[in-house]
Amino acid sequence: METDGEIDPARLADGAGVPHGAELIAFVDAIIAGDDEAATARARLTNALGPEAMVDAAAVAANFFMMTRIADATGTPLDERSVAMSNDLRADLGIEGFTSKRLTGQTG
Amino acid sequence: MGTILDAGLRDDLTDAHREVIDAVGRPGASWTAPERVAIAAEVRRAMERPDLPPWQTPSSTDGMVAPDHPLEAAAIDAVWRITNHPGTLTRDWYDEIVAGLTSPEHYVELVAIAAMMNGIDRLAHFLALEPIPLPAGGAGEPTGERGDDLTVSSHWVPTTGGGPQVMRALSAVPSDRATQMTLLEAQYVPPTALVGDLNWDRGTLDRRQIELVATHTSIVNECFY
Repeated sequence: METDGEIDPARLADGAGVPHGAELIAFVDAIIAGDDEAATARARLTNALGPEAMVDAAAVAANFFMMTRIADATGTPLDERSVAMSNDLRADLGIEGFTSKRLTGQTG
Repeated sequence: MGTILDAGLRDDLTDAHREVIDAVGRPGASWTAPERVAIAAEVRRAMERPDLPPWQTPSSTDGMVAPDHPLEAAAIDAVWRITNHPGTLTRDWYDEIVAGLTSPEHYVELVAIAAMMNGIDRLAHFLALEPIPLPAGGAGEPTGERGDDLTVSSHWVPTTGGGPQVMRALSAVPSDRATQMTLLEAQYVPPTALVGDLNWDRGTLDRRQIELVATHTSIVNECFY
């Protein structure tokens, strides 16, 4: 299911072709929801990748709760290079339909 | 169930979380230590009430803010909105909030504290750990520290320096930005590896796995950036 080392955005919900990608996506969804599935998800990812990797995956998710708030609260625009590089990706992911995009009308 | 500080996690992660809590308890550039602790406490109160919709502010809701609260209504409302509804923030909202604060630099410092508290408390929650107790907040006046040559150009907030836009977002408050960078490195990748070393990993997840988690989390948060 790998794609020559690239992440396949069209298959993000299925893990995007990344090794253990589906488990990582399910893990993130479960720990964010914080419901009864979270403990199961932690155990499942620990079994698949080890306890240190489980903690690191949780840490990356937590980090992007921080970064999204910094970016959105400061009106951070996309870098010009990123705008040019991500036109297709943003279209594929449906980012143009995000609430913040609709409210701000920003293009980058 | 303990906190991250006594969970036996890798040292740099533990130290980064301790550094955030210690920094919250010290005077900042614009806010006193007790005010910074109050900002952090509001993050935790907000996280307990994700049901409050973005158009309803805690300061306008009966019984949600004590009359002797140390923070202005604008500061409390900003913390709650940033914590629970970051995808709804607009330039008009920012202008209204900053008009209720002493300066834009006060706002940037508030964002830094709110964002870092979200970063450390979410990890505690994700790992079924207790949040680290907040410090009392020491004495002393705000330092008045500012980034050099601040201008409002690319962001809503004043910024300075070069590099990726998101890395400049907190440049108005250098000390808090440094603490945030330490946390970013411990929870994600070193800043130098963001675009400089796309194969960087710490021996657990490879970079594609790291970016998959990062991307999915940002999508869940409806992050525009």
